[in-house]
Amino acid sequence: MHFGFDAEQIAGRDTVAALLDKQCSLPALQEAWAAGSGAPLRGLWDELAALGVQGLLAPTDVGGSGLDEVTMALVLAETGRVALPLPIMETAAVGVPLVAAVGDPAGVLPRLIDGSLLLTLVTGSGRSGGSGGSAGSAKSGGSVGSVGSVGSAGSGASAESAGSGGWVGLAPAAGLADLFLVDGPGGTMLYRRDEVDLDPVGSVDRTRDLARVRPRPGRAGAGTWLGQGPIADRAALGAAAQLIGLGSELVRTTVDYVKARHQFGVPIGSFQAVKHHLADATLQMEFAAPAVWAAAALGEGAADRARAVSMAKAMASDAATGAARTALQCHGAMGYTDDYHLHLWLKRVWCLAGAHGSAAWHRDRVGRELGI
Amino acid sequence: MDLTWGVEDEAFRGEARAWLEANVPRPALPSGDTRAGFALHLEWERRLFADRWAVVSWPEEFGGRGASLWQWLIFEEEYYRAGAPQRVTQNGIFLLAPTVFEFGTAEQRARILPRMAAAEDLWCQGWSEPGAGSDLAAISSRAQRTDDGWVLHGQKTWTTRGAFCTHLFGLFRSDPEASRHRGLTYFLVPLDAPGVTVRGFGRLDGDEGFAEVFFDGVEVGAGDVLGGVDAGWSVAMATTGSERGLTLRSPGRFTAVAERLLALYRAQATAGAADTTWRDRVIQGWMDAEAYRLFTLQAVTSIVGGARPGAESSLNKIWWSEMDIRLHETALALQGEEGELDDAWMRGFEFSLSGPIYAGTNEIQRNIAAERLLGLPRK
Repeated sequence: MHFGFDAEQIAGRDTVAALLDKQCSLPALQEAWAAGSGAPLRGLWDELAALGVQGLLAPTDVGGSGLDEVTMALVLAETGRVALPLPIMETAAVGVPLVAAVGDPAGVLPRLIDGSLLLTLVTGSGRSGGSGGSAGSAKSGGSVGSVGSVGSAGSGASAESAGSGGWVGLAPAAGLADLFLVDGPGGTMLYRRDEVDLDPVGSVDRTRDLARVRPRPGRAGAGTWLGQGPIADRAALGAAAQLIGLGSELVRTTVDYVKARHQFGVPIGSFQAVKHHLADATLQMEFAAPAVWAAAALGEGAADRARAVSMAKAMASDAATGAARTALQCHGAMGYTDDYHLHLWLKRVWCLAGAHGSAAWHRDRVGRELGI
Repeated sequence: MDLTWGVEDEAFRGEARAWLEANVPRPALPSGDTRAGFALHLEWERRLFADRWAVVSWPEEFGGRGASLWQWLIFEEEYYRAGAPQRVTQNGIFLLAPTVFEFGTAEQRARILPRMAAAEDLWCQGWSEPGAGSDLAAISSRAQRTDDGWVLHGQKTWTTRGAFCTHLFGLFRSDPEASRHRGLTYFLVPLDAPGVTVRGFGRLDGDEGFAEVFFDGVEVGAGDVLGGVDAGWSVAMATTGSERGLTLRSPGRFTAVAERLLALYRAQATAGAADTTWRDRVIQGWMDAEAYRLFTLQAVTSIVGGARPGAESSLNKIWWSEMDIRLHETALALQGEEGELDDAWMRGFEFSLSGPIYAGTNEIQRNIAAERLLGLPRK
């Protein structure tokens, strides 16, 4: 038994953190906000690839780094900490390991690993099946928390996609992405950009660069089938790790703020009401984080993996949502402006708390795994 | 990171489980916070000691097994999983003993620890006074130096199981001129000493689990000072760290409650009688207990690696105490009209309500977390 990070995991995290601190600066983030896309940070994508982040989970014999999921979770927490507006979770934690596991039928793996290609996930529209879908199984294409169902997949077409012109869901970083991963009852499909239609929609977080996605009608045979990998769990765990970084950073920056901001002649952080808000936010973050590391350490194929991932996402979503509320409240009106940077973190939390399964959806799944 | 148990640890678990299965009293003992129940619990404590399960993590010379902190966690998990009795010796074993190991002389260790392990001496904690609860440094009970020792005067209160114990460890003001935290000394006092009066009184649940202890010119020796004259505050803080953190509240207690809650819901669901509006809270309760287990594994890894537990024990205390209430509240709610019955769930609920109060109220813990972990200004 050892619930701690080894030197290699910490080194991996710290190397990426140093790059992110340098390149994903506040001005860069604000530029992305203004642009409505992570495009101004496209250069950082190449630098992340040079460090081996995109290929972190891929085996070394295909050019990957061959590192473990705990390192991945630590790295993703760092990307959350700086609110990185690029689809690194989608590419590195979901796309690359899936593509590598099925032997790269589309011939994209080397260019994903070297940073030439960005991959995103089509999320969220698979809700038409309701929350009754069975846990941890690809057979329930309609299960919330899985990525969107494949609208064009014949008999598997969901009611929603059938009724909405084949739109299967929302993808972040849609303007930048070269590849789109779509999950459905028949498995996961990989589409090139020219094989999908995109309908840009505004997200509360402008850096999300969100669009509705559908496989382009009338192109039978388009896309590449990637089998039935556990991509929903990978995405949920990846989002949970990012939420840990986001929430912890919100607490940290708020602590700094309440030490510096004076009212009634004293720092507002000296008031018990403020102290207790921040103690509670810390409490929730500190108890959610081990659930995320534990789910990562269990690894795929472990008996309790589905339960552990869902617990991690439920706890991380709730803790980060709470931290966001606390951060805003303790910043007062300062935090309620769009000049000040706090809102960038708040809005990312709101997006990721709901993406890849809400806290309530994942709790329900934990319950099913526990036999109730 | 490795979240599996090694072969030795699994063997230890197997041995503990087998012993508990063969020895845990059935039906469960009555409350240990009543006079009759306490006597039955003492028999149980002595059976634990006889087979060296009373203090597994202590060195063998004092009655333990020299078990690792990991194995202690495993033992606790098995203990509560088996539904074994509450530990009426716990305030000695889990609060005083770590302090004796850290601050005691060789003579004190030899005199105090083996008899504590054997449940020959039963220790209660003398912290609170009528005018000093959360504000522990406000105590006014005093110790006056004599030629060969000390004389104690004053009153302690809310002393858990004080009416049934034989000894008390507590803080007394030894230097009335010194400022609050200074000038306190940690004393070890036999409760049969002349001048001691103990008066038991009922807790919220009606059991005589509390006592007032009066000291009226009680003579104690120089050897009854633990950890240095006027150094009592730092010695006591070592104990309260234990109380808030790991040693008193192992995850096994709460994972066992969460499993019972799950079983309650499952049984109702099987009978078609589950109130599904509570299902989400049952699951959240189970996750809270599991999160406490994981947090503890992380903390123990860090302690085994040489770190010293610090102010994060305040977070720990807030978590387990408030979780414990939620788990019991959910269980009572699930039972609907039957919830009011004076049964194990109700007793557990009543006890859980004391969690955010004792060992420093949770309001104080939140202050400590904010000031010492986050560095927020005291004033």
